[in-house]
Amino acid sequence: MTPEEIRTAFLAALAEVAPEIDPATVPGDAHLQDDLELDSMDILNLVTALDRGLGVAIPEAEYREIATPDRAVAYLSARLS
Amino acid sequence: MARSKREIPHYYLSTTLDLQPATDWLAAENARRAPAERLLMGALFVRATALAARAVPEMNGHVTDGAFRPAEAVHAGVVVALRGGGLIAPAIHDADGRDLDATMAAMRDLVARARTGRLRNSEMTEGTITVSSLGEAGADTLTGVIYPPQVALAGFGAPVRRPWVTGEEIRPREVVTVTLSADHRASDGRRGARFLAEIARLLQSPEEL
Repeated sequence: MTPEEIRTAFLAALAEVAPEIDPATVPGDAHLQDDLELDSMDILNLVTALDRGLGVAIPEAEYREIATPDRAVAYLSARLS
Repeated sequence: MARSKREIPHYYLSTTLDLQPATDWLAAENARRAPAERLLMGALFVRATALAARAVPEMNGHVTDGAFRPAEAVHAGVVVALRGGGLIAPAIHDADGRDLDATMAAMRDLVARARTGRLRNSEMTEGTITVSSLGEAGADTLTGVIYPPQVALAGFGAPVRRPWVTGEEIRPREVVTVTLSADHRASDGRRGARFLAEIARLLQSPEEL
């Protein structure tokens, strides 16, 4: 997958977890918890959606790697390559 | 909330407990689980509170017509923050009879439906005790307002690493402060302290929750 495809998949998973968020308006450096107000349940649901959609099971100790869309794309690209 | 503070003679008790055993157990458990099967600390808090409510029945029930009526079952209300503002506390029915995985599954389901406005009326009205948890971010203590006609709320602050004395040693440990808000018509401070001690005891053996 290209980084752009990964970003699209990540934002789709985010929209699934938080339907009131419009993926088109989320900046790449937006912090999921501090800026978008996702809580621990939302993050777990996002990680679950990424596992289902991309086949990447993110260990709990690495949740910080998906703290923003930009970081998530970099992390997921490395995991998928 | 205004009605709660006007009509319920609240009293408050807090205790700070060693959360390291639960933190370590949870990390090890989640490391070997697929994301869909993972647990959150909040599920341990709900489970411990439900079991403590069964052990100290003065915390579990309703005040109707000025008299406390203990409940047979433990229906644990879980406070859910709605993005865009507002709190609701739908209940997990028979929370004392569910194991940790079933409690976590019920919480996932409740949060998902709370966020999309698809809760059943019975879930909104049948809670017998409430659990409120700040999660990872936030303040050290949470002193909540009882949901009438209930008589108790267990508020969990954010878990934090703090110096902790064990024997003659000071060690860094993950700790959490739990605050009981209770109705003085249903219980007194002695029973309230017993309830908090029970939560603290249960969280020392997370594998048995």
